[in-house]
Amino acid sequence: MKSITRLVLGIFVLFGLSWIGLVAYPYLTFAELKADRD
Amino acid sequence: MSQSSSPTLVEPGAMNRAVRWPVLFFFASGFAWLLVASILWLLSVVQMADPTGWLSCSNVPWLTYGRVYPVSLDLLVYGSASLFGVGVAIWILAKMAQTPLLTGWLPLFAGAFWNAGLLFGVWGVLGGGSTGREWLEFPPYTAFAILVAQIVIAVWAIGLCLFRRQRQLYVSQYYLLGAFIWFPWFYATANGLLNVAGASGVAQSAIQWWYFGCLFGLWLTPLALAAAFYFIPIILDRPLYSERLALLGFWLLAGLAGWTGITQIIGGPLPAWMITSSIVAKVLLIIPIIAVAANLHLTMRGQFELIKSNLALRFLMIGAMLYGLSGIWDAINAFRTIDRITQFTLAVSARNYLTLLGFVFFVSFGSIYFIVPRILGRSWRYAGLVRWHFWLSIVGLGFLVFDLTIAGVIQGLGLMDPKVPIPAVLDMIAPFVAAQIPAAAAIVIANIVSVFSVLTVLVNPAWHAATKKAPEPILDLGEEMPVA
Repeated sequence: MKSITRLVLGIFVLFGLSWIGLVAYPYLTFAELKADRD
Repeated sequence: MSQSSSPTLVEPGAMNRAVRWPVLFFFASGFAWLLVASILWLLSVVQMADPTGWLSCSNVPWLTYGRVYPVSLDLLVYGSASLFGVGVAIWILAKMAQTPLLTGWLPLFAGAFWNAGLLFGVWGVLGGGSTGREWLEFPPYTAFAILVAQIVIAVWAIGLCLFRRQRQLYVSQYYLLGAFIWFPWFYATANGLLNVAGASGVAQSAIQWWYFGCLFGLWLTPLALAAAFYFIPIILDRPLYSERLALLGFWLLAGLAGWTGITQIIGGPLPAWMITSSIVAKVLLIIPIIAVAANLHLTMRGQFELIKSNLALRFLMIGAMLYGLSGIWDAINAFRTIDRITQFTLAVSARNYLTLLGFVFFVSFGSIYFIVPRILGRSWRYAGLVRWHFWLSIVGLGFLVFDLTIAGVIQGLGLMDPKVPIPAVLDMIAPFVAAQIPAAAAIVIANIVSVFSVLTVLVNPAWHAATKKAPEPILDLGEEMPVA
């Protein structure tokens, strides 16, 4: 794999984990909670 | 790779000419916003100390504290720090790619969009159209303009890395490519989910503070570290001590920094694992910070004397040291036992100022003091101005951070004690709040001096050439001045 490909892949994967954990998870979870309550 | 030993594939003078306009455009607009931000920030500091005085501008809504303070910080971050960082990045990427800048109009186009976004953002917030979210105050339509600019720059940077002639990637390219990919990603996410999609309940605070961690950790920090890793070895004319260590620092930053923002709301109504993972990430960030500090220290080994004669190196090295200091401070502050005292106090501002006005701005100024003479083919007109800039900045910043930290601890202890009424806490910290004014004034004067220093080189070449006194070199490099 080329170094630039490895770099871009690493940048996406490592940052993507925090994006999933701290953004996508609470966004989807709390949106569902709100929908249930309604 | 040592960039100092890399073969030169394109003549340096030609490269300087190719990147001159985009780099100068970003620097010039960064300095313009720095001037506006500094004045507004000083005004907000005075208003904070004397909320009923004539400078509180209570009859002029767009100059009241609630609008002036966020605009000043936004301009420091998205205006000067970001524009300086992008200007420096353009120069580094073009130099390291060793390829002519065929699409030089792309960064210029992005710069124009970015500045338009800032202009309308300032207009919107001062006019009362703030979103009310810290660090994301700009209305969505202006944030969109800034986002377009970021995407254009990211595309340009990736293109330059793909078509580079110098095949091996240096650690500065890692940091810059990361920053240019991360910033549009988290800026679009935060603005889109908070201001357009309407995230519900506590998800808002999770997203907002995740964004804050990313803004400092994955945008401002990599921009500044890329510059430090590039310029310090070049000025010293020796290779970086260890590129492996630098890469370790990069990958750890990439994996950890995105998690750190939630430490701002320790105790908030979020799942415990989110807050704990954020604390753990912030403490683990000490590892890349130590890696950076050790690497630069060992690169400088035996040459610390140069800091006295080389002002660009002085700014860069002190900036790198402040990165270590602010990172360790951040880690200590992330522990629940410490955070319960300092949370929601002036100590938080102290830490933000240390990172922004210390680490990020010092490295940016050091880079600018290195680059501008090379792209213009002139020395700095007055080295004395640069020295004044340095000393006013460091003394003002040191006093400001010390003052706000003490005030923050007193404030925090007071707020924790239910027997102490809030007005009594405010009375206790009043002298510290007033003492901010001279410290902030010193930093603002330093910034004005830096603007004047740049103007003497940038916009008055006729006078520059006509004066009999020879320009003072502030870069003790023993190298020839490049022909612009």
